[in-house]
Amino acid sequence: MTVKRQLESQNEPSSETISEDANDWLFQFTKLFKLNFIDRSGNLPSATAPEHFWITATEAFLATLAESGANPAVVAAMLSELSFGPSNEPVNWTDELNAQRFALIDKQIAGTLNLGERAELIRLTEAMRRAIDSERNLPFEGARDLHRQLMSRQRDHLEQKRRSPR
Amino acid sequence: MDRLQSAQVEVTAAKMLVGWTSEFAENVHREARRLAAQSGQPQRITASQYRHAAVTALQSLRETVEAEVDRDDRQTAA
Repeated sequence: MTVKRQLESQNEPSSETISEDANDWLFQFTKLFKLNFIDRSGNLPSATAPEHFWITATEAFLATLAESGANPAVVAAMLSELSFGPSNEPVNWTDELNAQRFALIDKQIAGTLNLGERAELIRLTEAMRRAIDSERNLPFEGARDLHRQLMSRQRDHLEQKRRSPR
Repeated sequence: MDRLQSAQVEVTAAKMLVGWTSEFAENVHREARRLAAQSGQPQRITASQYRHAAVTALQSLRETVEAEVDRDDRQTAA
């Protein structure tokens, strides 16, 4: 892995600060993350594709979050938000996303789902739930549409009556 | 990283390195905190204080590692 990110100049005094709590949390988290990564990378072969490191890093990251007290469901929701935007924004649930989800479910049933695909299935399921739960898909929105149509027809009807009085 | 000469690292060794870096970081922060308190501004720890603290922490880490090396040597000799 090539590290492209450069450290900012360390000689310039900075007015920005982080809290001591954040600093301490970072120490503990990175230490635990490294230990979790080492524990999980024992079975990786010498010439490993980057995907395996990503999966191992994700596993170690999730395990470290869990050890720090994070709720797995909350973490899954946060990952979904990061992928699809804040939960108050509607998800555009397309046929392609639906097909992707079904393909992953088929693999899950066949027992061939790897960790990366499992994460993707969780992400897509969460996105689908949000699309279904979103206000525009609730019956209430349908009723609102119907109300708008009825009001529009009533206006048209009244307009016609005004133009052609008996 | 040299792919042709890729070696296997003992898990104990990899974890030991994590322990050293963590101990070093904690010692740097603890010492820098002490320096900040001494300077009369305990609420702000500066980069300069971290640098000074790092020198002290390096010495401490060196002593820790040298003690471990001595123990290894004694075990090898026994």
